[in-house]
Amino acid sequence: MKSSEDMEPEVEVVHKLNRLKIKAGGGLTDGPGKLDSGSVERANTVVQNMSSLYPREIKNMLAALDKEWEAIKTSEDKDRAKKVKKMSNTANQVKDLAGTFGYTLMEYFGASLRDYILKTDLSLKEQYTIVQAHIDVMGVAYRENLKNDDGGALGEELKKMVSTAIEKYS
Amino acid sequence: MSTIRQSSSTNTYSLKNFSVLLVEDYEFLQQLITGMLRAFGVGNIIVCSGADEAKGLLSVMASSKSADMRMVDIVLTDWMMTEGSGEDLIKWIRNHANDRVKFLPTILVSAFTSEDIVKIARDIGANEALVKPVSGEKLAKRILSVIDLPRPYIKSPEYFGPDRRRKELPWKKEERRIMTPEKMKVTHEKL
Repeated sequence: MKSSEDMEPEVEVVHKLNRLKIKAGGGLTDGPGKLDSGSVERANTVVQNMSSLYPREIKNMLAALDKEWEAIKTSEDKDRAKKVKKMSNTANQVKDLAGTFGYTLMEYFGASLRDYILKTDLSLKEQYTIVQAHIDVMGVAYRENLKNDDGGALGEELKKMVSTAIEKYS
Repeated sequence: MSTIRQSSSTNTYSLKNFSVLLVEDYEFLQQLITGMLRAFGVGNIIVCSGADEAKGLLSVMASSKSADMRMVDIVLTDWMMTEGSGEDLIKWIRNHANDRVKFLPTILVSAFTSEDIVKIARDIGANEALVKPVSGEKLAKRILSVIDLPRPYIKSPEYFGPDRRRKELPWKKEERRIMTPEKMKVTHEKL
């Protein structure tokens, strides 16, 4: 029988050769490198250029959320989980989209809806009210083109509507 | 010819020979991130819409002997997707039998809060985590980190992935590690 001293170590530390650095044109003993000076600016220009597509895209995403929500409300129990997962994913995409272009109020509601859906199975009427509150305020934020938290009283009011619904019906 | 050079000046990297796999289910963000990677000069960008598709592609790449089907260099994956999650994909990569897949550098991209996602990313074996929204600065930083700050991989009964400790700091509390560095097997891949 092997003693514990003779046994193979249970932990192995593997130092891989840094092939990426070589591929990028660096040497293995070189210090940290950088990307070419204009590349970050060019990448941010890509984001800036795509921002003109935001209004159309967010409209499509809110329509998709509406449709998915209607489907959940009328679905059989056995189908619900998959549809709920899809809707939480769409809410997450609304958050991604809005956050990318600085629409922080819409980003807030997208994250709030996603997190709420992930915590529930959306089988109770009380839960319906909370989801509906999110969908309603997102519609208002879109129609009123409210971009960020300093969107003023209306933005605050919309946030309050959602938090009140969550408090009252959770 | 030797690829080992020494230089005191900062290298400007070229990513034209890099192949990046982007796994993202939202088409709009696929376009956005692809555009940003192109702005960095990445030569080849492959897009999959979910972990399931990415696994299939990586399996084919790992088993292919064709020069046209070379393995990707970096995987950039979203976290929340309907057709297989980023967590699922990274766990699959780290458990893969083929080392070309198992050791792939992975960057987890997520819209969840930074504290949560950094901890999860670390524990499932991601090399880097990027919290959305994605910006040029953030994406460049993570890619440069994968190139310049690779951590050794740890193989243990409970974990496989990059060393979860980025810095060796003095530990003032009770030592919970049962294995001393001397008892670990250390291997260095040779050129």
